[in-house]
Amino acid sequence: MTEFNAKEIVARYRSGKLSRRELGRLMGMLGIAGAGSAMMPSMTAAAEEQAMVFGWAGYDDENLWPTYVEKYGSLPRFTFWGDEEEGVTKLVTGFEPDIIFPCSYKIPKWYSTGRLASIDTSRLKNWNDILPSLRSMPGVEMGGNVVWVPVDWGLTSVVYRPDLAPEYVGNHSWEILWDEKYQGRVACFDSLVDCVTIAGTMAGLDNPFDYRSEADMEATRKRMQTLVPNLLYFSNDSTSLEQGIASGELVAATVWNESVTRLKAQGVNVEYMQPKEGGAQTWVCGLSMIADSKYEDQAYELIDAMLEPSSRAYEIREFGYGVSTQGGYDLVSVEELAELGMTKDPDHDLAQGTFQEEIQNEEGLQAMFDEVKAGM
Amino acid sequence: MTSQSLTSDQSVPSAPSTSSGGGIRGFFIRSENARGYALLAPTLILLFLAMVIPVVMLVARSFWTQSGMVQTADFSFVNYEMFFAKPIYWAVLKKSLYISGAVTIATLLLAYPAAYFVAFKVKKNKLIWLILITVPFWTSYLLRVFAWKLMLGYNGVVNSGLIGIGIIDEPLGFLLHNVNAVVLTLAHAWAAFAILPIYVSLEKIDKSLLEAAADLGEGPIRSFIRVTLPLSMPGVIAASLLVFIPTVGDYVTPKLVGGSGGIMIGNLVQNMFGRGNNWPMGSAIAVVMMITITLVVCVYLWLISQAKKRSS
Repeated sequence: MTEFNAKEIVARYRSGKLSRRELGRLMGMLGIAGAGSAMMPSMTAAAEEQAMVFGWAGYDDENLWPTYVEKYGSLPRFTFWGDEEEGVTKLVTGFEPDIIFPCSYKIPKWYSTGRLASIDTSRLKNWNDILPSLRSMPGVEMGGNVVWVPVDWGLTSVVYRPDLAPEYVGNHSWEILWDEKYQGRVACFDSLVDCVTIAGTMAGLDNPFDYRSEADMEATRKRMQTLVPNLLYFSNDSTSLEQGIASGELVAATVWNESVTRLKAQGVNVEYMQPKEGGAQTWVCGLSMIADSKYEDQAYELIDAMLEPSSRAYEIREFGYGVSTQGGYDLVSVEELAELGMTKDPDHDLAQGTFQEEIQNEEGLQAMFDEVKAGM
Repeated sequence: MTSQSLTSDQSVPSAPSTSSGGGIRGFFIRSENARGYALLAPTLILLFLAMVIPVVMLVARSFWTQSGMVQTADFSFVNYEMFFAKPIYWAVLKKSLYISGAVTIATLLLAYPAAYFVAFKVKKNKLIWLILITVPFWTSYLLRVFAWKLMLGYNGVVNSGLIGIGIIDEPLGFLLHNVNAVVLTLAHAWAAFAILPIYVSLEKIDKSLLEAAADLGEGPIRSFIRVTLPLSMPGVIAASLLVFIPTVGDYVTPKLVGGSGGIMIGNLVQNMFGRGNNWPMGSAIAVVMMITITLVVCVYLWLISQAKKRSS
């Protein structure tokens, strides 16, 4: 269902068969988060009087919330954001979800909105199943309270077609995005953390997440100025990027590793890079509760459902993502994990790459990003 | 308007006042202005709620400042200073105006023949033709933009068609993800807004004028240039405004088909309200954009009035 193409979208839209998930992706890509649920009243009607999950598109899958779906008979309500910056803005302006799906590098910003609830971990029966290193990682506790429950982790890197760019086989490098030979045939996320920081890495910054120094900013700007004309487009839509790679329109693109899992499942000849400059970027995402939720009990049940071993194992197999719980890993064999490029030890896997951190001087970086896109 | 309406007001009571009823009813019967405003009231209330209040809020917010999550409601010109201090805003606004100008011209060139055909050549079932013109508008704007991705894309209709008939071997990459694609997509998306006003003004042309031109020895081309075109100008002008004004602020189209450098002023506004998280700055950009569009339209209309004077 994820490998739909645009033609199908139109056809399905016309026949009314476009699912919330697909429409959500389409809308999220355009920065119209939430439009999906607004435009599909008939589909959300069944989920009335249920908690709302506000987060990344693609997680509205019954197998990810097994115990919750068993108890209530359907998924909770979902609203998607295009990216987290937009999500924070929406929360600040009064949007009232019950659960959000932030990633570790963004927790301080979400926390600064003052709307994260402190989570009573004794109400989560699966809390102790979370691997100790993840349970104690930065972002879980803020101001002495648990505000965030790590759920999954993954990679941001370049997927490329070894048949179209054979010189990068065994020579993985972010440089492919700048390679003039592939001008107009590479794409990047429309995102600070998943794209602009790559330019920071390539500009030789000690910390590609810190843009407080003018020199670092200018060095990164120079890198971005050569990146923009080399790219075909910026996009946060995994489906577009996957289609571009599958059709050969794109030779290489930044994607999350779930896209690689899907592309391989379709039989597309792709490789995922472990770039020699600092390795892939890595991230951990999880669930937070919004304070004063009307559906507090359901919110706890949702977090617990997602920590269920069967949910975590499903995410490993279907998305190719790593997970946060021992129970999830116990259900998946070492061989299966190896095929997905993982071991049973997330600490080891995460240490292979560059861990995404909170961006310092985010506003300045966003302004620079816009300027470079405008040709400056 | 004032002196005339005042005198007509005064003449109202002298008109046969059939009922001498007092109270509110009498007031409405006596006062033409009151009746006029009563008729306008639903529109005015809607305009006030949906247009005036938001614009006032937008203008007010453009003088605020924001740092982090906190917006400060102190009066300040800082956003406007920023707009003109940083080259990006003005450059992107200028680019947006150019793009919209190109879209307007392209739309008019495509729309005029269509409107001309329906007005003069279609004799039967005109209504069906008009409905057919509006058919693309039965789907959402977003899907119309998306449809062009399918047309112009790497494996799109145009490329696979050309490969199929053997004109090219490799898909053409320059069709999509650039400014031309934005212009083409917008020109199609707004076509009906140009065709219908031009059609109306062409339809109103007295056919005997064309016969007279022919009788006086004008060929078809000269009679078009000297009779039809000038008489249809009101429709052309209305169409150009209907297309130009809304397309300047478009942000979906450049995002979908504009490529890596495809950024228009609407994208900057959206960024400020979204991930940029600076609503006051976004408001200031929007205000400058609205003022600039107003000025451009004023100059345009002034030029037209000058041209009219010269020709008459």
